[in-house]
Amino acid sequence: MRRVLAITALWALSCASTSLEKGATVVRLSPGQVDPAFEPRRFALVVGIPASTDERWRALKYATKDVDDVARVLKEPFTGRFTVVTTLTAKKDTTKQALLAAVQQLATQATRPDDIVVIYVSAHGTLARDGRGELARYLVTSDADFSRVAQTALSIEQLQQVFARVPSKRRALVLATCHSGGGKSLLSDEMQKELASLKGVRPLEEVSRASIVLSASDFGEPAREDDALKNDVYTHFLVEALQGPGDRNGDGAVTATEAHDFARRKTYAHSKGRQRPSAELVEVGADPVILAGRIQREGRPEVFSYAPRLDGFALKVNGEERAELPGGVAVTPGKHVIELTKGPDLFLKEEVTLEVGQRLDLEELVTRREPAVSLSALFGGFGFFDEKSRNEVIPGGATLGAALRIDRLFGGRFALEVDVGGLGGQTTLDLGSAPVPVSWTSVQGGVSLGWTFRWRFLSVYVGPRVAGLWVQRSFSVATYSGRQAAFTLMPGAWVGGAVALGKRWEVSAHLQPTLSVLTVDGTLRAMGFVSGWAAVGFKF
Amino acid sequence: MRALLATVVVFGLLGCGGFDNDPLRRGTVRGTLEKVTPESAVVIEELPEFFVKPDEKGRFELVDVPQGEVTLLVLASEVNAERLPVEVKGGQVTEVGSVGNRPGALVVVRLTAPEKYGVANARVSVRGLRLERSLRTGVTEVTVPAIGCFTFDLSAPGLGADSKQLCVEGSARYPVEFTVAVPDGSEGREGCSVSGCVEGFMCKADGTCG
Repeated sequence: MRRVLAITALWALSCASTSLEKGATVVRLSPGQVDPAFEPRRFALVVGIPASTDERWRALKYATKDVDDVARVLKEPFTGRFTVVTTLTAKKDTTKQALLAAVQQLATQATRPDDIVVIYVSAHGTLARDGRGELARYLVTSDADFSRVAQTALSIEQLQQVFARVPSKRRALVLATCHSGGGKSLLSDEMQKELASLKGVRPLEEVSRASIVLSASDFGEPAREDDALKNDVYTHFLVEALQGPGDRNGDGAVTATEAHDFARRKTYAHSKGRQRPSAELVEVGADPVILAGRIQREGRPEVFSYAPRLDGFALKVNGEERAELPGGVAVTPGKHVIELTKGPDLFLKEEVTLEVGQRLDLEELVTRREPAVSLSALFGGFGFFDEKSRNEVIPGGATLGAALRIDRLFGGRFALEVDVGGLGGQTTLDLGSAPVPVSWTSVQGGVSLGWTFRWRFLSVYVGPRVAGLWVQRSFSVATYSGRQAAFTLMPGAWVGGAVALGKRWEVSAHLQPTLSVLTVDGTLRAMGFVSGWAAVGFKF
Repeated sequence: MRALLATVVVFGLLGCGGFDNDPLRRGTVRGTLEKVTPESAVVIEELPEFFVKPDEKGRFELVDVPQGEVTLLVLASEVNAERLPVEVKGGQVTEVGSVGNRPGALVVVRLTAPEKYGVANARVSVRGLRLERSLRTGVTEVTVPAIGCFTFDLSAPGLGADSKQLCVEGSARYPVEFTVAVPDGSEGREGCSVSGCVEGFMCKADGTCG
């Protein structure tokens, strides 16, 4: 009887969730009805700035048409499928503030991480010194003053910062602008003189990858707008890519990187090598940003690189040159011999087996082949931050040592370094009277874990560190002879930088600020302590 | 702030050893007195605990003196006394050479007791110099360095105590006069029982001489 009652009670409870929903209407939906609600939404802000209030900026003939063409292909129901496409071309809508407001508006709409957000801008670009005196890129907005670029135009950096606040993790910023001094770019006389004075230097390299090639050619390049194409050249081929030809791996979708690569190659060919695209794609290599189509099948394997240090390398597949980096190619599944060359020099040659849908980042391939362990000889010095400790403990001194670093740990982003060093010497203490001669010996060892940032041949390490320091002082003065020693554990930080010299060698510099705790004159004292090293390392 | 404090404590506990600079902040002062008497002495004016008597050859050494500038008072003989500044250097020996050759100031200390009272047990000392003289006859002489200010402390049992300061500026004679009154109260009644009376008088039961 009890069992029956218990079962009845459980049944009643199990039904309670339904019976409690008084007033609520239960609607049964099929998966087909629910899925669209969870599909990534697609937002596009398409901007063209054909003219500015300041007439010294030459008007662009095709900026409005660029906007129309890009918007059309993005809206296309079977390819682009962008649900919200906002176009801005009027002067009042393309001021600096209006553009920033439009991007901020996007941030309130594209709130899901998988939403796709694209900003496209066809406008003049220019260069100017910013408030810090550094060369910066600017979009020539409709209210930009030719004489006061830094104050009135929209810096690319600011645009990127505002765009980065969009919650979506699938963003693409396509800048169909130029900032080289030719074509769709205009520079003030002052800036042109400044750039011209920098002979032998490629100033634009500092601010833009896309500008490196442009600066190698004449500033009087043909216009970026092409009367035959009736578009910005790059935009023309970008639109073409989105209509299908850009689907490099044949999976049915055109990603931002595929579209960019297609447009870049076509632009280069169209200009017979005299022009490179003046567009820059941000977020390259990030979470796929599908600009057109749908992924209908697994695509052909892709080999690509957008790593700055591989810029300019030729990518050969099975002995055939297929692309110049940055960029990528699709290949058939199976074994392939991948080569990276620059002129006659072979940088990398490796046989790889690629499967359907696989994307091989050459940067990873190159990095994986590089030695991950380095042994370095260290030369440096140490000292306390504060003068009191330098006077009363030890003024500091030189150090010799060795360090063993293991790179590419924990997913490739971290490095672990173990170092040990020591030396001895003679110096004097300043205890308020005559200098007191002292002989010292120090030994220190530490373990550092650094987050690694790599750029071309430079690696930067930043992270925590724990070290031990043993110092012995020996005195032999007229009134006192004796030895004193102390050991302390020191928590701190590691900041280092290494420059690769070829495949096996590197030079590096390290700074290790730590906190030491020592008993001095009967008092426990916390003191800032720093070690600085220069090192020559061998990688294996 | 708490985290920093905790870190300091934890890592402090994990460390060991330490550095002590105190021995290196002290020095030695060494010198010689040409003439030595039983009362010869050398003392640091600011740190009277650093007091030393020279050996039979006149050599003296003050050790573990804190570094810095100090004043050495050299009491060489009945006529010679010297005062000289010395910089003590940490970890070093400061040689002052031969000192105490200069004539000092002769201070004549005179005690005037009430009529009929004796001063047999009275003594005068110079503060900080460990110099002490008996005033049995009511008069004594003390040689001090010829420049500086000194405090003379009088102790006259049964009659009381007093102090006087004297500043000297050369090797002349300087008088210091103490006058003590007839003590009153219970102490006064016991006065002459301690101080005694001059010859020809007796100490009465009420402490007065008669």
